[in-house]
Amino acid sequence: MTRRATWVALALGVACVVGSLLALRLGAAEGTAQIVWEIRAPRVAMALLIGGGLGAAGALMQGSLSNPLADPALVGISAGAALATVAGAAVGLTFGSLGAGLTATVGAGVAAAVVVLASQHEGRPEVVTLLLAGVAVTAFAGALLAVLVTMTPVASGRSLTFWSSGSLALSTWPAVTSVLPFVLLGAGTAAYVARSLDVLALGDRSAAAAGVDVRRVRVAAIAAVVLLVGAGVGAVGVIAFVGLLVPHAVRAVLGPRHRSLLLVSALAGALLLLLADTIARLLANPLEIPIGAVTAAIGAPAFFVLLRRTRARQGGWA
Amino acid sequence: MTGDAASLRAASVRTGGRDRLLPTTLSIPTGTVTAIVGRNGSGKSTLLGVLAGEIAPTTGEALVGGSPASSLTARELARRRALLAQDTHVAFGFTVRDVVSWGRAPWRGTPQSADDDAVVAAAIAAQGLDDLVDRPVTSLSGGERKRVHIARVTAQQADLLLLDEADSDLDLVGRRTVDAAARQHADRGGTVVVVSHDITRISHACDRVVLLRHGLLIADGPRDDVLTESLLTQAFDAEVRVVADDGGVVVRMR
Repeated sequence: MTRRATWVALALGVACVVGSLLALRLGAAEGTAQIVWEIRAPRVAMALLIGGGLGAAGALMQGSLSNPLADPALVGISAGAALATVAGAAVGLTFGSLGAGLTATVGAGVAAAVVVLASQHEGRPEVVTLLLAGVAVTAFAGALLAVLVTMTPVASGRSLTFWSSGSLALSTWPAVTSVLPFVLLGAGTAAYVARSLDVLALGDRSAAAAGVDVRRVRVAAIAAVVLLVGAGVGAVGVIAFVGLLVPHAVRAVLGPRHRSLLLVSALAGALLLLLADTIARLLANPLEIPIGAVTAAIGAPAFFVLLRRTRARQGGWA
Repeated sequence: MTGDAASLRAASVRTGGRDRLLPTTLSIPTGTVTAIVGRNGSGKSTLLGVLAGEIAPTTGEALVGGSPASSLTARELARRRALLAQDTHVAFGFTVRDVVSWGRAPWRGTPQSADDDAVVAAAIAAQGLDDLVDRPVTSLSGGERKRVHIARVTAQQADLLLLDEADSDLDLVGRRTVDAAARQHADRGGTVVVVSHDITRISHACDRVVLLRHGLLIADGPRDDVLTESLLTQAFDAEVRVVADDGGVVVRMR
């Protein structure tokens, strides 16, 4: 890591801590110790965990496919996790349990495998096919999810809006601990592949000729994505734009090297989701705005500006 | 090192129902520059890919540095041979220095990695890229980008250097720089195999020529034995004139 990356990481870390303390205090007047500890604290912890996972997952996805438009929500991984969780709930699995986290992760993994295998061409995933296969898987999983939620409203216990736009309102400590082990495993896997991801930017053929086991690196990176986002989606629904936007913003500041990109994207994603959740909670208090609406409202315009800037500075994507 | 840097034993390649390379037995002697010459679609890139160990032959065997390519990992292969592919695209805004430093990836964790910074700096300087080191590769011209990749594969410090149309996108000076780098690599005991359509130019830089026609090796030997009017006319299905020139030949269509 460069000195600059270290400073940015430190600054973001401090901002996460300060932001968390502020978020714990902000809200309705009856902020008793019990409310803070049992309602706001798990919510803050969940925001940091999910946001960190999404930020790093976006960077992994984009890096492993050498495509700046890849994102776990775009390639169907998030939809697979949501569907698996609802299917698990329909047969009696409790939300926020370790079993639900595992079910969501398996759903994410199956969706990832389907999309990657469907887009294989001459032994490697073809990126445009992969993104389009992701659209198909997302639509199909969304359809099954809508049917399941409508037919088993009590067992699924969560609305369609929850799954499509996400919410941290139902976060509990058990839910946080059901997501944590998966995110930690994913983070470890991400750290393991970080350096090799850089070389993948050469394209599969040249990267392999430079000594990288391309298939192993890509499979490990996508496995890390599944671990980082699967259980999180099961707990809080699909939150768009964090995975897509955060790595772009970080690249614009620090360049594309993955060791710093992954760490700083995780920290920036955590901070962004904490901010988004605080806005979702307070803007229309006592009503809650879906957090996905907040991330898209912040993320889409920022993404637009970044696209223009990056396009102008680096002279193109291809 | 003596003997063959790479060799094929009755190696053939068949994909999509088409013979890309008919059974070929070939030795690339250490310390030489070999040019692979032939028409578009004659199997030049396929032959280079088999020599590099990246394309597994359908039948027969490829040896790199004396070992069957199939027995070596991607990393072991990358320490023995470096391959410059035609595609020079680099995703994201990686800088010139980043990309050249990837040439050192196969040596990570070995004693050789102690020299990484010096090797990368020398490779950048040899291609005249000093002023561009911190520029994103995506912002460079086609020729500059090609030079970045030439620097990257030379930084790999493999004995065998395989260049697939390294001269495309390069201007006159750039081509001379690549040819000089290839010559120097061979003179220091390394081995170079190049694919090029510029036969006149490459004849001044190579010792040996491999001539392909429709996936069949029709000649393999010292430059002056292979770059003859009769063999080139046969390879290109067109009347070719060859005129002796200072240290090479001039090849023209008749």
